[in-house]
Amino acid sequence: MTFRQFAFNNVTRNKRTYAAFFLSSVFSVMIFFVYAMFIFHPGIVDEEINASVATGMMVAEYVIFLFAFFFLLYCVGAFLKKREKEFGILFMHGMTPLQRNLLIFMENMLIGVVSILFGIILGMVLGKLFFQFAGFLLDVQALPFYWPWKAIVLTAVAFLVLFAAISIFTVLFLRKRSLLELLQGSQRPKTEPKASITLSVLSAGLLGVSYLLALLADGMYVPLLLLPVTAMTIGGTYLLFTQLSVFLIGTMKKRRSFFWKKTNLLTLSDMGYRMKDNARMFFLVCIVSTVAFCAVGTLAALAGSIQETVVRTNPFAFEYQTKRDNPDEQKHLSMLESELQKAGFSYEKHSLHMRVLPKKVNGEHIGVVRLTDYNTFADEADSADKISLGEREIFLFVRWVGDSVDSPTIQVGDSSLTVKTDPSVVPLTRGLSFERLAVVPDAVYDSLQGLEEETLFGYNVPNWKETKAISISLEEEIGRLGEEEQYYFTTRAPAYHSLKQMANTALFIGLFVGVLFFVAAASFLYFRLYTDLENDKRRYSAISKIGMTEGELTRIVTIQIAMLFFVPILVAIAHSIVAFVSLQSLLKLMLIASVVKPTAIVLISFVVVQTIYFWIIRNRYLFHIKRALS
Amino acid sequence: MEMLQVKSLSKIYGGKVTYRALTDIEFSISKGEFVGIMGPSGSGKTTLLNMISTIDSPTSGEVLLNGTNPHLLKKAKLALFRRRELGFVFQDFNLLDTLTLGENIVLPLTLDGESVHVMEDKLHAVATKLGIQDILEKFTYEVSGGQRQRAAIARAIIHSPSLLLADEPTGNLDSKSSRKVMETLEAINKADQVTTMMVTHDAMAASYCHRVIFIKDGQFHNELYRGESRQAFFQKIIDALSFLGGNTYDLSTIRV
Repeated sequence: MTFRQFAFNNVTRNKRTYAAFFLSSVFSVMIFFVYAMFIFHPGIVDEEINASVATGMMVAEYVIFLFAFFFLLYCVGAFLKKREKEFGILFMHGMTPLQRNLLIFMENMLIGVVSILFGIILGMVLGKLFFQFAGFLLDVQALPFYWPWKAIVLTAVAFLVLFAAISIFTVLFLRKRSLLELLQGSQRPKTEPKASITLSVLSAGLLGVSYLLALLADGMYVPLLLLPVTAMTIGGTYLLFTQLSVFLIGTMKKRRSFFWKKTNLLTLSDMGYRMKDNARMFFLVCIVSTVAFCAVGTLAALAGSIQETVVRTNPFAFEYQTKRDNPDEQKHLSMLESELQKAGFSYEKHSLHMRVLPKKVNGEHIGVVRLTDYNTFADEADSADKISLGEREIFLFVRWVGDSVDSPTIQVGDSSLTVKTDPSVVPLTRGLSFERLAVVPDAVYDSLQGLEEETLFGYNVPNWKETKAISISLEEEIGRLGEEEQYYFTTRAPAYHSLKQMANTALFIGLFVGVLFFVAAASFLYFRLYTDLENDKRRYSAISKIGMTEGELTRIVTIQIAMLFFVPILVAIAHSIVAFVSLQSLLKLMLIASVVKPTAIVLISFVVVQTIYFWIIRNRYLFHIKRALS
Repeated sequence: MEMLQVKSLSKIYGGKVTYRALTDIEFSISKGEFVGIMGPSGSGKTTLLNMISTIDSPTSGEVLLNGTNPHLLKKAKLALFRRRELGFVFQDFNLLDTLTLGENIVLPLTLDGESVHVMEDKLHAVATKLGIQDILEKFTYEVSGGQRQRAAIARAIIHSPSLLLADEPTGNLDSKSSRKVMETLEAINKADQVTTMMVTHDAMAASYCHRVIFIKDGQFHNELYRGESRQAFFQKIIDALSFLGGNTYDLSTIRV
């Protein structure tokens, strides 16, 4: 047996121990490879799909890589911890520290190379399926399969580097322990978990303050508060798992009437140790899950609200605004109408007249609309708010988020009108020769004579989603803006389709990264349990000798595993809900519909999957423990 | 010729309550000698062994093996020292269960980068000597405790160390296996002149030694030399142990 064979035997004969690590590696490689296949696809390179899609994929690729690095680093660390005693024996037989490092390196590289191989093969098999799914989501023809040698090279090189880097990092950060400690391994009695009261209070304080800020923050302040609140939440969460939870368990243990009741004695005393041991893992899983929830929820909300957003910004399928002296007006309108008729679309035409006030107000030209006309027109639009006005009032639309109207009154013609405004009302149009739109009472409008006039023509098309091709050819014919800004022409369908594709891409990427995170979190749990299994077997067989029924055993184990599975997830859900509440108030400003429904779907499906996973793992674990007892 | 010299060795464990585990232990072992260390629980036997085996380091005093103090060596040098000069046998065998017995046995040579050819020869020789040549392909969970311990002894002597250290080698074995293991240790000591130091609780095991050193409360108590008869030596050891005032459970059940 040479040294190389020794490393090889260590891995191949320890299949069960390495299985989880190996599968996680394969999975990371596979996801990375599938994305790479997508990025390097000739169809994408030739820009059949929106360029932003490829960019998004690229970003996702980096995220996956970075994540795979930290994730695999954690796994390797967990393994080495489990193997302390083995290293102790090897040191006793004269292994040099250099040889130990070499051993770790060779083992990691062996697993790495095999996972890269399997990941790529699996990715190729699933590639076709992935392309189909991508085509469906992105609203394009499914991409054909191709020979992805570029993706293969990228994946192989990237992950070889990754595994090498992980080997080096783990060795560098390996805790220096004396030989005696190594040999005693996990048999060393643990010290009692202790928590500091100050840090526990700090944890509760940090979480409380950041929740309060996030919940109370109003739209505008959300971006400003984002960083400090996130930092406070992360800090608070870390302390929650390392200090506050241990502190709470300690408090519960002080109440003997509760602590010394049946299996509580075992469950609680064990929980303290487990909390302390698993604090970092809980923290990681919690943060990773929160990020995944928020990302997927936001993206789902984004994708789901595209139509609403587009309809709000483009109230009509086609809009044509023109100055009175535009010579091409009739030509353009009839071209539009005949194209629509030719393609067999039914439509309704509406128009709205505006007059431009001669004098600037606050440095802006103002265009006014007759109140009745405006409301009739708004009624016809797919989405627009109606306005109500008093006799001596003028309604000014806001032009951008946070815009405000300064002057309390405005002189229009002979009358001085009180300014009224509402930032949530979106203007139906923008002017060609004015900056701000305003609505005035009918009488005031009628009294304005001899002013410059503009007309907005809006076309309602019930089947507007299918007008993408016509819209694009018409935009080419007519142009979006006349040469002397005599008119502007906008269409809804192309904007809708490109936005939809972008949102779906984001969702698509988010979903896959989310799944990756989920699998990672699940693997963390699996590793943890696997490391504990041997100790638990010993523990429970000792306890069962004192006399414990199978039901009690099941109860204790179920509670413990449930803690492991659901404590970080519940905290993550709490975090996400708070995050969504403040996101909601931010997104409201960006014309995006409610995040409640998509978020609820994301969270519920996550909990369902997690519960199934919990059930399977719990049963396996119980099976192993019970078998060890009999 | 003195192979191992222990000079005024002391060990104090720090922490909240300092604890003096060993005080001024002083003895030496000649080449080819087979020495047992005995004493009641908590007397510092294992601590002493850990000092000599470089698992733990002494607070004061020194250990000299062939004139070298291993505690003064650098890490990499220390590894080489362990690899070439020392052999270990543990109470719980400490075989790696991912390796076959044969692979476990050649491990010290593997770490030393020995050629496969040499390793095979040495493995064959040592396995034949210990009567385990038929189980070299088996894994640890497939063989009995006695066989595991003999494999561990084979691993400890395959590289012909200057000093073989054994920590309760019979502690996890039944009486039949214990005797077999002790006979093995005695045989290799006699045949190859392997200097051996063994810590034990077991008077039967100790009776195979040439000399037994007793320590109590971390201090040297006395030592006994074996005469002609192992039976008589066994009786002397039993008497010494009862004189030491160790609790009765420190005496193993009489097996001879």
